[in-house]
Formats: sequence, C-alpha cells, structure tokens
Amino acid sequence: MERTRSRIITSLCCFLALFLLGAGGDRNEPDERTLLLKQSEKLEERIDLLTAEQDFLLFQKAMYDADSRYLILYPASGKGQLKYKNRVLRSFKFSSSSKRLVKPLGAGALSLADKVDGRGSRHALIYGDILILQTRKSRVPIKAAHMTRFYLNSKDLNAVFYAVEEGSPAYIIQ
Amino acid sequence: MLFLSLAAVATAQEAQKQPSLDELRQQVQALEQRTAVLEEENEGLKRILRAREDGEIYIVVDTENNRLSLRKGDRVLRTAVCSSGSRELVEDEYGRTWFFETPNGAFRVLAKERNPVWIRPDWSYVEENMPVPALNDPDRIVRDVLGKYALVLGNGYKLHGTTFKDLLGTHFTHGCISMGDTDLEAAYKASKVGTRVYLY
Repeated sequence: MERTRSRIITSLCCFLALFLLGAGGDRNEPDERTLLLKQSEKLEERIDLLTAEQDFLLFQKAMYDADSRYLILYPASGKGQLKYKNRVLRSFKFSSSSKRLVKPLGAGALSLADKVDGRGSRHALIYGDILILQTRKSRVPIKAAHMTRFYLNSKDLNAVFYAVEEGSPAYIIQ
Repeated sequence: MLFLSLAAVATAQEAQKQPSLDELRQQVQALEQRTAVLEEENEGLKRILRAREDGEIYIVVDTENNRLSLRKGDRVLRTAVCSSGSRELVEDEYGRTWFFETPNGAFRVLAKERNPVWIRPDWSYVEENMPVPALNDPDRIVRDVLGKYALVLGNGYKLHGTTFKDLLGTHFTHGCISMGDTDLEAAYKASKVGTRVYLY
C-alpha cells in the first residue's frame, strides 16, 4: 500500500515537473526573446544617440537665431570653436587636467556663470558650477577647485574672454 | 524529485516576471517608431540648418590679438596680421571727445573702393594740435594713405591699407582695421558687397 502511494506521488511529481518545464512555451521562444531583447537594447542606444544629436541640432538652431557668441567644446579631441550664428570665428585647442577629482562633465549646454578678469594671461571663464576655462597662470577662485579645467593658451583665452558675455553658452560634445 | 519540482516552479515564476513575447514585440515596435520619429525630426533640423549655410567667404577680425582671417565654412583660407583701434581718448578745446576703438559685432561689406581717399576728420587735426578747417576744405582730402583698396563697413569704419606697416599687429588705428598690402588685396578680391565681416 505504502509502495503504491509512493509510486503515485513520484509519478505526480514527474508529471508536475515536466508540465512546469514545458509551461515556458515552445522551444523557439528563448531565441525570439533573446533576439527581441537585443533589438530593444540596440534601439534604446540609437534613441539615446538621436536624442543627443537632436539636442545639439536644436542648440545650433537656437544660436543661429540668437545674437550671442558661443563655444563648442570637444573634450575628447581637446578642440574648441568660438562661433557666432553658424560662423566659426576662432578655432582653438585645450588640454584638460585628469588628475583632479572633478565632477563628471556630460554632453550638453552650459552657461557662462562668471568671468574672472585676471588681466594679462590670468583670465578665467566659469561655466555653470562644473567647468572652468583658464590658462596655466589664471587666478582661479577657491569655489572652482572641484571643477573640470580646460587649459587654453593665453592668446586664445584672451580672444575668447572678451568675445563672450555672462550667460553665453558653451556646448560640450562628448 | 522534489528538488526538480522546486526548480521547475522557480523557473515558471521567473518566466512570469519577464514580459511576455507579445509585450516584448510591442516594446520593440514602440522603440522603432520612436527611432523613426527622431530620425525624421533630426533630418528636418539638418535641412533647416543646411539652408542657412550660404557657402560664402567671410572675414573675421580678432581685435584683441590683431589677426584677420578669411574663412569659408569651417575652413581658414588665409590669416593676416592687422591692426585695430588704439583705445585712446582725444578731447578738443570744446570738450568734444573721440575714443579710438574698433567696434565689435557683425557687419557687411557695404562698398568696395579702389585707391580710397581719406577725408580727414576733425579729430585728426585735434590730435595734431592743428586748427580744424571747414568741412569742405580741400585740405581734408588726403590721397595714398589708405593703400590701394578699402572695404567699407559703415559708420566711418573700413578695412584698408596703411603707411605705418611697422605698427601692424598692434593697436594703433583710430578704429578702422589696417592691413598689409598683399593681405588687403587678397581680402578685397575674395569679398564682394554683402560679404559678412565679424569683429570680436
């Protein structure tokens, strides 16, 4: 009696196990699921790229209609441009200090918060609370210690310093 | 056997947590639609921006460093040493003042002149402690001091040549932009009436 009962339980367990294992759907499903998940991941990446591109295109369009000089900065290549509408007024190079513990610099627009008039080659331009454009000799306020620093040569910084006004934007392209 | 059953139950529960295939298909479809919309919008924006590019040559003057460049799009066609305003103040006996600064901003070439003539303004006489003649006095007409060409920007400002070539690269003018002969000729030939000039 006990044996028969045990056999029935065993059979039921086997049946249950097989039923549940098969409940996931047909054999093709994992393949299609993986495919769809990968496709979805790729599309999300593409959307991120397109959104970033659109942000920059909208920025360019806005600056074309504005009457303000602005900067475009490419930290990866260490290159920058001073622009007015769609015209390049000046191209320049910069280096950045990677040794400092700084806030991460994302892509997008920043506004010129402060112009530190240091005279000679000691000027500095502070964008938001995150980025400072300066020469190696610039006098930089203590509040800027945690900021990302881009170093320009004094000719470029002087030219840019007098060309932009407080509130002028700089667009970072990563 | 019990373990096998428990594992099967766990797998089934996990499968229940994941989105169904239909849900995934719908998600991908929605993402594809969003991508298509973004691509279309970005193309539209690019078209708008492209339409604003005229492909014309333009002139840029860095008045801080006294450098001029001829540009087209992102390309620099020529760079030149120039001179801009001295940033000095002159005052006459009647209290009239003149500050010799090159203006900043966007301009257009309003006229192109060959062998330009300088009509000496009042400040030129004041500067040299000379009596100021009448406006129509022929003494005011001076030839051969502005070079062979001039590009007129308006309000008395011009890009022109100079007899003080040693001073090119410094701030010495009365507000105009002075250039060397060959650079002036290149700027004159490359530009036309309407060419944009950006001073910063």
